[in-house]
Amino acid sequence: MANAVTVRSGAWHGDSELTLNFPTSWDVDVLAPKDAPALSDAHIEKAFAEPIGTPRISELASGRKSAAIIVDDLSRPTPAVKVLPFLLRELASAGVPKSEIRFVVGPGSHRPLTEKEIATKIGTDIAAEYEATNHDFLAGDLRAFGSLDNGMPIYINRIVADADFKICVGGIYPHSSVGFTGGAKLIVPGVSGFATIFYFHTFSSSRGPAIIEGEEGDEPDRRACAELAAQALGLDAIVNMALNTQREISGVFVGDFVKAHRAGAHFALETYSTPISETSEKETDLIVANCYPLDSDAIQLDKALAAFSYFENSYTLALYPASDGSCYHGLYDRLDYPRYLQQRAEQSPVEPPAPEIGPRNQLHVWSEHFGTDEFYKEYPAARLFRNLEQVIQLFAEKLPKNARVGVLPAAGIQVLG
Amino acid sequence: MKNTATVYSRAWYGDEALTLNFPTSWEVEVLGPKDAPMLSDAHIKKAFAEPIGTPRISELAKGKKSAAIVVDDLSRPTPAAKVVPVLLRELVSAGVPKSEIRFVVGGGSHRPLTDEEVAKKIGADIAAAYEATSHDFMGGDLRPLGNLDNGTPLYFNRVVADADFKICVGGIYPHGSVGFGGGAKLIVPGIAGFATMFYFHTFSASRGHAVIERQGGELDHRDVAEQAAGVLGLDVIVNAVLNSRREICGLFVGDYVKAHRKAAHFALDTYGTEIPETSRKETDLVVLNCYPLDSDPIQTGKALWATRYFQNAHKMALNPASDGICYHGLFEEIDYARFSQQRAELTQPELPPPQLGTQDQLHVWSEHFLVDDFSKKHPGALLFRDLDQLIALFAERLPAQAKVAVLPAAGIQVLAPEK
Repeated sequence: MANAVTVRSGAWHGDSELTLNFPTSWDVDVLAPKDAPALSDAHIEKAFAEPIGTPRISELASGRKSAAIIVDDLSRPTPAVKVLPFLLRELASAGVPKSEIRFVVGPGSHRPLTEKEIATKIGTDIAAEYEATNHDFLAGDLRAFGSLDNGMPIYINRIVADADFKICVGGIYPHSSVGFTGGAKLIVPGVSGFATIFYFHTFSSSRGPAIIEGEEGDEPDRRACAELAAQALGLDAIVNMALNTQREISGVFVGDFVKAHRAGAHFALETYSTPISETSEKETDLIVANCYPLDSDAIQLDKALAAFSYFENSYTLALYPASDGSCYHGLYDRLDYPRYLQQRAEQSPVEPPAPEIGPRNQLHVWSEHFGTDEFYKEYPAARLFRNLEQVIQLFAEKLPKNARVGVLPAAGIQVLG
Repeated sequence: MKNTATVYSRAWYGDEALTLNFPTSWEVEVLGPKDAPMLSDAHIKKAFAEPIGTPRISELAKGKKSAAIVVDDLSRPTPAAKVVPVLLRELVSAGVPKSEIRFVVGGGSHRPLTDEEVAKKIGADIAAAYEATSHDFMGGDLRPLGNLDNGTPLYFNRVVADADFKICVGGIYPHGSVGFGGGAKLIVPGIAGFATMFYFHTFSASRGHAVIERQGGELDHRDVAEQAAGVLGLDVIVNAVLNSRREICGLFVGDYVKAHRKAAHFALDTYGTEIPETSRKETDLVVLNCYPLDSDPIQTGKALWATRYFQNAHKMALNPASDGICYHGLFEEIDYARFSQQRAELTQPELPPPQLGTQDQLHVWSEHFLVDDFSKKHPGALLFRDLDQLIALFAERLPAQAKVAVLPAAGIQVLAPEK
């Protein structure tokens, strides 16, 4: 059918194809990023062999007695499993004993991963062979590293702090307050304590979405604070990835947590960039943002919303399976995870209201797993739909026969403009 | 003159008599606590010689290489300087080296004290001879001591955690959520970190105002503070009960649970205030003098417990708030440096012209409570700077034969238990 668009959906939960069947009379415009092909193993190996701003990990870690590898959680689409074998070979070649290499999931104040989920992130074989734990931002055993000049207290996960060699394995995605994720952000907030994360979020200024370098100011901005804390901790190296629209690795950046991150961010900005024509900006009647590959965790919806501001006269629809279902952000909720689960268990599930299209400036979200209560608490002005065909049908009734629809196939990582 | 009532005012800032001049036609009733006389030096020594639930400090601290003495801040009226010399003699006699004895002001998330204020609290000579610092709940150097079973993460002031012997010197005052202050409360929140305090305040239940032992099944604020003190290894407490002149009328040395409970029972008795049935019904104006908790603006609330016993009365609180700074880092979620900066940039709004509100509204006379802080802290309440003028306004409003009840030390008074 001429008017079907196929996008990917359900990161970590099948990564399957999702077909959007629009009315045949509509004018469908797929607004894809520049994108880049998947890297071969040889490319990945080369990134480890030629790191940015540091010696090769096999040399840098030489003589280190232990190592901590921090990985992001499943709210991030990073396929860490693809690069870890290379990293572990570097550490083995440096002589770090296998039994002294530990994985720590650095989710900041997100929920801890189950063992199965850790295996999804780092690979079943590696998960079976290595110790892997989740960071707990409310743990009582964090290590203190003093305060930054701006007052931010630094408390860091004990396993990470006590390791002789520290590596962050993360991804580079557009982020509203640190410009791009990755780099030192897996330290703060990744493996930091409540006081640190609170201070970081409350008192440091935003770098701005998809901004790579900060401006000189009175106080360090959010990325600068994270990097100062990483320095106090002694973060040795990062392995950061940029992804393509298929959730494949299109760039790997190994090395210094500032230099490699910036190189990664420039690559990401280039490959995530999505030109939007003036006609699209003005004439699109419905913009569909497919949140993939950041579509598994119910708190990442915001990452796709920035896109909507580009389309002046458009209705908005976000496709967001939120496969994980859990909508927990400990810092904002001011709640630890066991208490969150308890409160959630006491709630009875509610069905979304009868499906109806709202006004143009209202956000319409198709989601299979976002809990109704939590959805309306997070997005009081938005509308939740469970049936995708139905929501498209409702738009078909509302919009002109020759409506123009724009589809952002990987809105979670696209940078518009 | 028959229709004056004299109360004490301005704890830490003069502790002067304040005379309330009411219209001569009014009927004035002073509802004081049972109260108790000031302890002599001999009584204070005796409290140290015969501790409750522990050996004497001079024995208990034997062989200890260092000691930390946690004291409360100036929001609390505790005259620590009266007991600290006796405590130091005990420590010296135990053999703790003088250079290894340190004072830490355990203000929770209140502001740090200046050097001058520390000297007020522990005495100028002692402040000159010993190291003394204020705890910083947002500090980046706290010691982690694990989590309690209920999840509370434990982070403590480094000086205290690292000391070989740990003592809390505080006071027993009625408190809305821990029953009575004192005991382990100088540990949590006193010298605890932000994560600890946040958890403590958010997830544990209240014990209730002036309640000594837990009443429900759920772990409450005092339980959590005491479990945390157990993990830290708090060795001993020195807790004072005050009379309405801010003098020590009871001193309790020893175990942080046993000595605290004994003190709380004593306090419940001496702070006990009878409010006769006729006063409850017929009082037209109740005047709550916040003394001796009247230096810190944020403590006004502690004097308001009595208002609900007066069914038909207008309400007036006297809180000079001499300190002027209304800062509670935990609730405002800000560190003191940033708070001070924000405050410096703020232009204080004008005080509205003095005018009485309704019977339900609280009328506060305060010399130093800032207009902006006041409206945030007590929305719906009215602030007045001139006490005589405020009384004159009430004289116009109330009947000529109005009945006024004065609670002279409302900050520490509690309703006497029924006999």
